[in-house]
Amino acid sequence: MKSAWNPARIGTLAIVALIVLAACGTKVTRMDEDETRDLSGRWNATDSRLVSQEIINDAMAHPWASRHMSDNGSRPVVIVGTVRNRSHEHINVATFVRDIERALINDPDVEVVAAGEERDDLREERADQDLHAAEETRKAMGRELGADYMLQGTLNSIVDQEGRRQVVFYQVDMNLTSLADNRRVWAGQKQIKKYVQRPNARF
Amino acid sequence: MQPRCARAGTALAALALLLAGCATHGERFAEIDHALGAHGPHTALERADSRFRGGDPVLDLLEEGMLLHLAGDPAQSNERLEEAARRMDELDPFSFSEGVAAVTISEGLRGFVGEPYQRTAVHLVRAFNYIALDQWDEARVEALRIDLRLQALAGSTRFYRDDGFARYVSGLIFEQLGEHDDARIAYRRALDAYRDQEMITGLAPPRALQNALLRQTAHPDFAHEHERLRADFGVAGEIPRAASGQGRVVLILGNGRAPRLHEAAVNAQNPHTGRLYRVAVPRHGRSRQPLNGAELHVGERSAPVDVAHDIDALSRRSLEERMPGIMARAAVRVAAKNEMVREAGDRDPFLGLFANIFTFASERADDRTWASLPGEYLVADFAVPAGEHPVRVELRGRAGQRWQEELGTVTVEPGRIRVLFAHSISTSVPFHRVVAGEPS
Repeated sequence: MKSAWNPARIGTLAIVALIVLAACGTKVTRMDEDETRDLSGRWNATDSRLVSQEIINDAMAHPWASRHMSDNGSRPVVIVGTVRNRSHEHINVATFVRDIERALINDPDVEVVAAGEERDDLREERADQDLHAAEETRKAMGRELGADYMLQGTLNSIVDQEGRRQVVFYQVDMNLTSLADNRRVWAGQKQIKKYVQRPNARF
Repeated sequence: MQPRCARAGTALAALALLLAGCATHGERFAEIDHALGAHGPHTALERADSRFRGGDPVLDLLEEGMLLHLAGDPAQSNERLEEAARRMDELDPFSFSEGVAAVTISEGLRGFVGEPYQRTAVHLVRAFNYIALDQWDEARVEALRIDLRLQALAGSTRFYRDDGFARYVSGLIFEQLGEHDDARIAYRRALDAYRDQEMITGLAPPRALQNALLRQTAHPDFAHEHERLRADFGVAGEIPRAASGQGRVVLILGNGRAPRLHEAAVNAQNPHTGRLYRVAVPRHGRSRQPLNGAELHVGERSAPVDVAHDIDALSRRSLEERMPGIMARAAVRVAAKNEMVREAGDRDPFLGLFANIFTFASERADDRTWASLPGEYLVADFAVPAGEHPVRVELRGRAGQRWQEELGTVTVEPGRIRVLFAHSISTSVPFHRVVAGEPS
């Protein structure tokens, strides 16, 4: 009687097993940063990029900077304040805040000053220089450029759900406020709406 | 005779292997659970390092997340719990293969997605961790996730369709962030949930919630509601309004551990065929709450600490609700396994014997449950003048014994809520503040 486990069969099984194992391995493919691929329906890099682009375009299209220059004879100085996440997801808002900051820095009509922890680092360094740096290279305290405007914002979300279907609405509101008199000189808004349907069954 | 001995030996070895391979979650978790009850969360985490390999991945993450929370590592705890929540969402859709496996091999082959109250508890413990880290905006995200989860349960015929305690904690978070409208809505929903489930859980709305609601409605716009609530709560006389120089202290006290699930099995042998039969279903272990009550003292003031969340009762009621389904699947499984053994035996008696051993050994109860959650949460909430205050708590044990524990000094800022977390894991483990970053 011919054995059921002849070498040909064992070889075929081994090849099939190898193919299956190869298919189960981790696979990484590089994506273009502009490519959109929604996996979970949650806020993702594409949303962040779309929001920052829209906000930047809107901010730069408004004449608040030129008005400031004509009124004061100098470029406006902006500090980036906090952007509060008031959505139902843990979202790292720092990415689009950085995008907005970068666009403002690159704009020749606007000056941007450091804020938050970075500013604290700079002050700490100056204090350190006071003790340790040579006098001719030491940077003095109290000579920071005071900001004229502060950029702040919020990210809100509304979720409407029924069963395994959800409509998620995100709204990002950013505004620029004069530090001298609390005047709002610019307000921008971007909305994103998503329909998310989760599977009812899996294998 | 020799081949028969060899076959019997092989069968015994296979049985031993199968029994070892079929260890339930409860059996794997027993050592960690014992370490938690006898020595506390740090020792349990040390044990968990070696024992959490090869178990249910979701449950291991939940247990580790809770142990880290108890051990005072809120950031790591949140990482584990977030990963657990993500995996539970992935496993949520019905699985055909797991469904078939549950009615043919073992109930425990289905992916663990947790009971609805446990899924809310993931966000609740995460919210506690963020509060401990003083990240109230992130805690707010968890409050919204709790709301979404509870919205999905609305209209459910199951007894757990809302969660008074989770709503109350959400209200606290909104209130701390100055969002008083949202806080008021959350507190109202908490009250509705407590009233809806009072007949089942036996829990009346805790005084902390009553005070929060009265505080939030103490405005001419809500005069009618305020009066109605006062009448409902039996509050007479003037309610001390929160003065401008006052803040609040809230104590959230975990009591013991949630009940474990054990296996209840019936084994039988057909005297004619020698075939073995087994049916195994989960049953609850004993309640594990060492405290029977408490009173919070902040400076000269004191307030009773009420039971606000009875996880022990939720767990028992939840299993009761699931039991008809578990029994039905067990019956189908017995029939399916019997047929499989008969067919195998018809082909080859040895194969039949092996199939019988396999079906017998694989019949294990699904005793998976998130057992490191507390059995209860107790809460106290009252206004105190801003400043530094010594805090202590008077505890009453199940046997009637009374003792005091110092919780250190807390700094209360005007208009702010200071939340303290403490836990009494068992009579063997010292009562302790459970999260890092608190002055002691």
